Amino acid sequence: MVLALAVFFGVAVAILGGLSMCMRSARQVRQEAQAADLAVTLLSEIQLGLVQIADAGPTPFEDPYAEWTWQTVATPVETLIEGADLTQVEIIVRNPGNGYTFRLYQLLPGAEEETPGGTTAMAADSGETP
Amino acid sequence: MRRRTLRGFTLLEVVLAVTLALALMAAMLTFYKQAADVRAIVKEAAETVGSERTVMNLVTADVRAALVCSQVGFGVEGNIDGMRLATTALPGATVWAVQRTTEGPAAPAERDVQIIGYRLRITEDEQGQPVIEGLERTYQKVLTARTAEEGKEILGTLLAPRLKFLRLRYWDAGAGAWSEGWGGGDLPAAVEIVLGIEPLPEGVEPLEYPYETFRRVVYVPAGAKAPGGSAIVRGLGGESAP
Repeated sequence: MVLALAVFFGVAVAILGGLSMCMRSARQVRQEAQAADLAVTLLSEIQLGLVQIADAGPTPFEDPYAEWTWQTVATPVETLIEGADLTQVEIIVRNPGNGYTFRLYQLLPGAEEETPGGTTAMAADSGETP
Repeated sequence: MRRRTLRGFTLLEVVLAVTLALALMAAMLTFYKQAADVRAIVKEAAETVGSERTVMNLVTADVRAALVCSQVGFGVEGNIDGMRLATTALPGATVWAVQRTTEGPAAPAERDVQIIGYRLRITEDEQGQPVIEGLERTYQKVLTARTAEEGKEILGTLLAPRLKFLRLRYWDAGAGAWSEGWGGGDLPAAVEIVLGIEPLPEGVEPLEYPYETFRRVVYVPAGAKAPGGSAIVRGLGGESAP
């Protein structure tokens, strides 16, 4: 009987572990989706000229994404074409709470060009900035 | 002759064994039910997020490839709950089919510009009440006229039955503000896409949607304004939009 109980509880613990891992995976998939949305949105803000192409952050996003931070790293890229200044922009979206990090890279026209707006954090629903 | 003594279980042992077996079965049943519930929740969450990612990536690809089709004078046309946009598209596989010159065309010729649409598919139930079936993507391959008939030139595919809320806004670079509608002749600088799982409650404004949302802002490269002020149309020989 002791053996039967041990097997029963052993199996129960194993199944619970599997379910817990399943829940963690589901949470991670959700976080990946959220991080990708935040990173693409930030990239769009940079392309719109609302966030300058420069090293910035880490800065927390506004509500309801306050648990996430964003950081940009701008690295000039040498090109063979004269006057074609390109900057590699790396967008790092991080969730300090669980250590999840999402990175997005894109080559954009040089950082020297004047941008219409200053550095602006994301406004999710303010209706004033993207 | 030796007498064999046959020992059975006492009543107490039997009662104890049956009680233990019943307790174990009850525990197992509870455990199984909880495991099934957790599995269902995880499955639904994974499918919802999967739908959201698929839709977001598809809309992103379409919006980033949006352009002004000068022949029909159409770029992006939309309001807060749906939009249509001219976008580049690969022609269908039949276009590339090898055929003998004596044969007629295997398939109708297609353009590399289509008009794609996103909206909620809304039908009526038996009581005549509106029912949101999900997010729909429409496409119009042949741009012979600016207005085309639903079900004939304009065909729709139900993309994500789980998504019951769609909110769109358009970034007007000139005004520096979001707009809840866009005219059609040119392109916005960016499109904001907000998706939700729950339908919009009656009497609530879309901007006040009370449930969790998935939000993404997508830059429209061809919507970037040229120094002269007109939109640069890439993909149609660099001509300027009207």
